[in-house]
Amino acid sequence: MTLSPNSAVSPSPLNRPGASRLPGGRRQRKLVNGMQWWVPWAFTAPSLLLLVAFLLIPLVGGVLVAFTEWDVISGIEGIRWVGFDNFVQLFWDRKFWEAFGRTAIYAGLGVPLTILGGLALALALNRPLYGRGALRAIFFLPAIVNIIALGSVWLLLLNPRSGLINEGLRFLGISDPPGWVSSSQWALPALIVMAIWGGVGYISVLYLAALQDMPSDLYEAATLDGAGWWQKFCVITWPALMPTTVFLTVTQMIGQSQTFGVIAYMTGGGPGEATTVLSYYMYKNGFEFYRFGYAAAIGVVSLIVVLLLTLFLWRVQRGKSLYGDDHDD
Amino acid sequence: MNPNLNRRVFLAGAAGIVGTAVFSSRSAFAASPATLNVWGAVPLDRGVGALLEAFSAKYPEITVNYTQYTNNADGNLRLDTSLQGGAPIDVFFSYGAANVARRAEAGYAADLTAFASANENLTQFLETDPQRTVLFDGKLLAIPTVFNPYMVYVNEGLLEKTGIEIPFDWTVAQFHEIGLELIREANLEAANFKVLNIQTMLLGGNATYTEDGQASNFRDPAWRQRWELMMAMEQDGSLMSIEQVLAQKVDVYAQSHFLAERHPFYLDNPATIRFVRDVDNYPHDFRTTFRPMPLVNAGTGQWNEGSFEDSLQISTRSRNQEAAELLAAFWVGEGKQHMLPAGKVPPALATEGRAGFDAIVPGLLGDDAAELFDIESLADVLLAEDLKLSVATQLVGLSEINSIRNGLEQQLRLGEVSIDELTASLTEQADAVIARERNTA
Repeated sequence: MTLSPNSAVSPSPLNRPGASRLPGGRRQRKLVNGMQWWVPWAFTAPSLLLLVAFLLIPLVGGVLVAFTEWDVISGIEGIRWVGFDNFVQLFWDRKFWEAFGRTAIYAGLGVPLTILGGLALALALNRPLYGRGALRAIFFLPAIVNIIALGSVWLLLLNPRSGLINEGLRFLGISDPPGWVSSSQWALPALIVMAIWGGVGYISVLYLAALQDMPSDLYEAATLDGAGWWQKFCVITWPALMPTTVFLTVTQMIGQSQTFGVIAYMTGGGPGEATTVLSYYMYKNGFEFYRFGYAAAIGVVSLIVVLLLTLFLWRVQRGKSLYGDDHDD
Repeated sequence: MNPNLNRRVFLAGAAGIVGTAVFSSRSAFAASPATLNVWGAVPLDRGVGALLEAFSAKYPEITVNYTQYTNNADGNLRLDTSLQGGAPIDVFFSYGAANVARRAEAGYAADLTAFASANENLTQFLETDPQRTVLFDGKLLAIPTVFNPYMVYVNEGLLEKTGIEIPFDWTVAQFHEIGLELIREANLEAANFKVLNIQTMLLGGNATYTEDGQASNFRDPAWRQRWELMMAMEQDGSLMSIEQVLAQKVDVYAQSHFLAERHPFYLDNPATIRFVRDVDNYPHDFRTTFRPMPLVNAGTGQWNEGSFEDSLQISTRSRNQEAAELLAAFWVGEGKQHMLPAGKVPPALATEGRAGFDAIVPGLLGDDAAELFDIESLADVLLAEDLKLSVATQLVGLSEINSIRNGLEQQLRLGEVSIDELTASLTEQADAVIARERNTA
């Protein structure tokens, strides 16, 4: 079959309804509803400009700085292109790998424990309970309180001599309780405990919303089939919560691997370097030592790791949801 | 024709008219409208506001906008990026040798040599004496506005109660012993918060580096002496325990422990005087007496770890250089009295002697001076003839090295590393930093 010059397998946009012909044979593109093609662009332009100015340019700039040596104060003319030198240095930098390991421990323990805690709390609060609304508000409170205020309270609680936690441990018969933020061994676990405590309320609110959205007929059917609580949880609740779990895992992983404020306030990366995680190591190199190229390289590596982890998590959970893949993304 | 009006008289008259015109134009410039943007870390309510008001009263044509930044890593970076980005800054204050040098070497600080040489309060900073200030290629690029020697604040009430006397020529060993005695006698928490910087006392402001600046100097016996004393005091409880320092997050300032009578000593420069006189926020009923920093070795001279600080720098980009110089002259001259309540002792004291001290006492110590302070002991400490301030001139990677050192010293005090391990690790890491910085310079 041959096609005549005027025929086409699929109509071009200009041949579609809504495209009008201009004088001289040119066609003017119009959208389906008759709007000029540039009108949506005009409406989205302010947002796009802000996105480019405050997200894209800094992101690209940050990546480019990672290939330079720059102390900021010497200005643009002080920038020296060093190629992959910063990344090579990072590879051999013992402190970087130590900070990387601490970040992995902090997020690797903190995220699953926070999510498990939040899930348990949501399941508890999902039952008929007197004062349920007030309890939800109380558990959500840490998510909205200023981190400095939280840190101050936790410093009091964690004081090795007079803190409530160690007083309680001594009451239980532990004569030599941990030093918490005053001990290289216990400072990071103390911060993980604090992160769990701070995140559980937020997680539980999202899980509660998902739980209350679940069809009750599934549970009724399962009850008729003689399923117990654990079976219902494994077969109905957990798969139904999979999209929420993945969302929370990804966002918590991103958030906790970038944690900074609580460390800067409570421990300053110490004792020694016991709580110097990647974000704090990056801050020190940039803000304290004026090695902005090196700090940017740490940032780029963090970005790549978090990105890969996110992709991995999306891949792992595909097809495991109760509702199928259409809810996955 | 007037016989007296000859050519010479005419020329002299003409020169006089030109001179008057030049002088008038200079005065006119000084009085011409200008807006100065000043960046400093001292809050307005700690003397700066009063000083600027007095300056505005004297020079009503000059408007001063004061921006307060925090003297920490974030605040200093904010000032640096503002200078680099061309923000309108005419005058800025830099705290600490590293900050002064970084801004001077980046070309943001104007040459104040000629200005200082014409100001009697500032000529002392043109000397080559390294305890005064740092000249950059023979140029004065920063004017210190504060005389900040370190000294020991002592609770006089506790001395009277326990009958313990402290001589003015006391040694480090006596400092330690008396501290322990006071803890025992008065049932105190600890004797002191800060670690004695033995290495600076013995080696001066560049104790971190070898003489040629090519490597670190942590294997010097002075450093070991510091760490041995630190550990001895940590273990016998005369130093505030690192466990509590970390748990209570006591970073730099621990004056509340001194003023609440938990510690009998407090090591600091005169800045703490403002807390001692502030009985509303720090109520206490004892007098504070002062002693010089203890001697590491009796009968020998040593460095004082304090220095001339709070350096005023004028931006090279300022289009109001002369107005900025007027402010600088006012700050170290007649305006200095306004900074006294903040514990800022003017550098002129170093040359003015007793008369200068008597003049600053009311402003520095407040209305209840005699009730709160042993004034004579303060005079003896501040005016001591053998007071030798230290200035750091070697600064390669210093903030990074100090960060490494602080971390390891915390571990040492917590008993997680030994002095030998600390020395080895610190030397290795510091040498690597110095080598890296020298390679990239």
